Amino acid sequence: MSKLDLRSFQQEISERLAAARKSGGDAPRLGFTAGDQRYALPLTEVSEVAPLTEIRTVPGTQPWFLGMTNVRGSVIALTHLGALLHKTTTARTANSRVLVLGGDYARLRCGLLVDSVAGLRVITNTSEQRADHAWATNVGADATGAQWILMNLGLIARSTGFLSIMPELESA
Amino acid sequence: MVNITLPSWMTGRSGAAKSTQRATDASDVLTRMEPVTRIAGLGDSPNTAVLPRHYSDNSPYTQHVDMSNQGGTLESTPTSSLLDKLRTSGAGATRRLPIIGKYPLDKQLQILGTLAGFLLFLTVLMLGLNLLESRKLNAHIKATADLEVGALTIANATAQAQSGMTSSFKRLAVARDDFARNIKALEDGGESSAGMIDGLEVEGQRNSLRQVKQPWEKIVPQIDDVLKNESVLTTLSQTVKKINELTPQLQSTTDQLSLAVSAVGAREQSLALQLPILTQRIAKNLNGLVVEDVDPEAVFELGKDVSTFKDTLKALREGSEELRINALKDPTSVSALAAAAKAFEGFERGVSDILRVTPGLVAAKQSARGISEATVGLNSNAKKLSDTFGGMGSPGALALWLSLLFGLTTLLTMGLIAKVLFDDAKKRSIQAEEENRRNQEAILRLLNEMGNLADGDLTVKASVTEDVTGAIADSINFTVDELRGVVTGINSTTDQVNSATQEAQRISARLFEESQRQSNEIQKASALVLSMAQSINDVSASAAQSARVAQSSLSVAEQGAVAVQNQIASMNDIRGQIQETAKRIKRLGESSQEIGQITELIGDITQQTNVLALNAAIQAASAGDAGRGFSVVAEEVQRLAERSGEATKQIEAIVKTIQADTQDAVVAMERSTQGVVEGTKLSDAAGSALSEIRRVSRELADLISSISGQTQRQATSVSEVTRGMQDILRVSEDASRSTQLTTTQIDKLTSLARSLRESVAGFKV
Repeated sequence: MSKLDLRSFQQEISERLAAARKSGGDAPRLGFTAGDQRYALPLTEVSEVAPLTEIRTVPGTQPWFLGMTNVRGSVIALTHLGALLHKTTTARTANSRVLVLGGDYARLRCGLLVDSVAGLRVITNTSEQRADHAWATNVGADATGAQWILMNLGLIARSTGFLSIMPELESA
Repeated sequence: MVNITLPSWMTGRSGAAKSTQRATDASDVLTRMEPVTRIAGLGDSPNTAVLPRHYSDNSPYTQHVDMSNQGGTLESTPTSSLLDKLRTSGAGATRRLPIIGKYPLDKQLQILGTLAGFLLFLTVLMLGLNLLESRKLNAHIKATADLEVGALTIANATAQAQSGMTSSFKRLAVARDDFARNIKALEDGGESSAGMIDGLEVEGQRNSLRQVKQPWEKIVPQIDDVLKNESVLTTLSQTVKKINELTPQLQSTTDQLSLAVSAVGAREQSLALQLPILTQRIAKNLNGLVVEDVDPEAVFELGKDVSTFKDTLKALREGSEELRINALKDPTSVSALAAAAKAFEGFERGVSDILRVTPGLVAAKQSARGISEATVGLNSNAKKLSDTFGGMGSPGALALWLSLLFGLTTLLTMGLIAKVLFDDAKKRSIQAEEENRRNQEAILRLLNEMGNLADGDLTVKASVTEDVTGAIADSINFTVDELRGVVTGINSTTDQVNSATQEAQRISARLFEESQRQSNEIQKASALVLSMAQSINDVSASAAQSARVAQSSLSVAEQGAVAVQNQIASMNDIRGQIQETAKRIKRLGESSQEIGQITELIGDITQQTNVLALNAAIQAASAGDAGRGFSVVAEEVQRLAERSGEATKQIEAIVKTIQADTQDAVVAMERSTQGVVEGTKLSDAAGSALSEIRRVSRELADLISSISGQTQRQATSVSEVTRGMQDILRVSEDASRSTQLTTTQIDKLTSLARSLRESVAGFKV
């Protein structure tokens, strides 16, 4: 573990601030994991990252639909992303976080429960390598070379599977 | 001539055998035979021979004796006739006593002796009677003489009592009692001044005694009167003596008084001059009282003189109308008067004492005079009484004459006894002569028969006759027989001695060999004992060495025990240190747990920071360009939070590792502690084992030292045994030497036996 050099750190910060002021550059994305897959979302599509709070289950809903919860006054519907995308169990850990959707998707009033939040990542070299998934268009790599699936919330929001939380509705 | 010393049993057999021992000539034999002859002569019957004792048994000799007796009777006829002749001639020479002459000598002596004893007894009896009578008479004479003396004593004592001598009264009383007792004894018998006597028996004497007794009975009351007035007479005497002492003083004081008064006046002087005259007269009258009879007139004059003296003194002192004188005033006269009065006081007291006892004095004086007169008559009567004894003859005269007669008769009887004895002696000498002659003949005969015996012929037999030599011949025969037996015995005994000495020689030779072998064996045994002593000494040394080894083993065990103790202490220390370390490690684990908790807290904070940073970044992104700077900061914060979280995770991992290691260390420590405890137990066991070893070593050392001591004692005993063996060896060698000596002695014994046999070879048996 290398020791932090405060002077260089400050310098780096000030350089980056200057760079940010001059040009937009690549906006960082919020990286997270769900069902053993690394995903990333633009910060603008997320209004808040919240720790797991009390959940009120809703009877007769899909297994991945965890129920309703209260995040600082606003009631949102909570979906287990791993269970939804990868049919995993709806297990919750200490690292589990709730991503409250914001921006254009704020009206959905829903949240995604992810296994863990990795942090902010600047993802470059995006490519459409992975088109097999309904909600992912591109795949990119960050500075360390790790592969991140760039999630497309618009696709999810429009998908019936995500909206029909009732199993009868889906079957119907 | 054979010269053999016979054994004592033979010599002690009879006197006759002893006499024949060295008989060489006849005279010697004769002198020795004398006692036997006398014995034969004393016997009443000349035909009975005194035979030796051994004839009484039923031996073959009995026959022989009978024969010789018969022969002896025939032969002895002339000898006995000669003896009878001698006896008759002896009887003719001496005249027999009348009456008792026919009795034997013993009887005669008995009769004469009895007679002499009886006469002697009578003589002594008569002498005793005479002595008794004269003693009685002497006692009477003495008692009578005492009466005579007593009368004089009474007269003397009375005269002394009259002049007041104190001792004379006692003397008078004693004389009176003696007189009375003697008179009573002479009259009736009893105790007198001459011892016990009988009363007088002759009538004339009794009359004389009565003449003494009559005046005596008159005197007795007068003596009693004098004795009764003892105090009066002594007082008179003493007072007169005192007054005689006072008289010169009174005389001088009165002289002084008259001299002093002469200055006062003529009347007073004439009064005072009377005083010395009175004094002299009083003294004279008083002395007259003592010496002479009491004259009543003199007594009256004495009283009058005393009162006159007293009046005169009073008149001089106080004055007198009647005499016309005044009381004396001048000091010289007064003092002289006082002195005279003082001197007169004693005078007056004495005179008044005498005047008071005058009646008794008069009576006593009269009695005394009566006694003096009467004693003259008493004395002359007593003298007459004693004269009566002189007139009569001795009462024991007849007894004296009788004793003289009996004494003479006794002497005569003794003379007769002497005659009888003399006759008997004469008779005996004649008989002895005859016997001697006969015996000489017999002895010569015997010597002839014994001629061959001297040549060593033991087959000789002497003929036994009824003579005195018969017994000798018989004894000689017996002796010769015995001698023959002895010679035969000697021969056979020497044979036996020879064979016995040969046997002894053989035995002593074997004994010598045995003792030699014994010496060898003892020497071998000594050598063995010496080597045993050496080995015992070796054992003793080894035991001492062992004792030292056991001692060192003991000390090593003690060191080991100390080491084990130290080890146990060290282990206890280690256990303590381990426990301390375990405690510290436990504390370390607890500290790491705290670190973990803190790290957890930091992790939570980091996560929240991360979430906050994300949310800040989201907010900045939503702000568009305005929030671009902020977005950078938020990104950095988020990145730092992320790194913090990673670091925190690493710390947590490290802390977990530490805790696991700590746990392992604690477990390991507990195991170590267990190990240390077990090690301590083992050390304890080792310690106890060592102390056991120590105890055993000590016991071993004790045992070994006791073994050493015992072996040393054993060595001492063995050396004593060696000494004992040496002694035994010496004794054995002595025995060997003695055996050799014994052999030599046995050889000598053999040669002695041979010479003994040779010495008896001359005897013919």
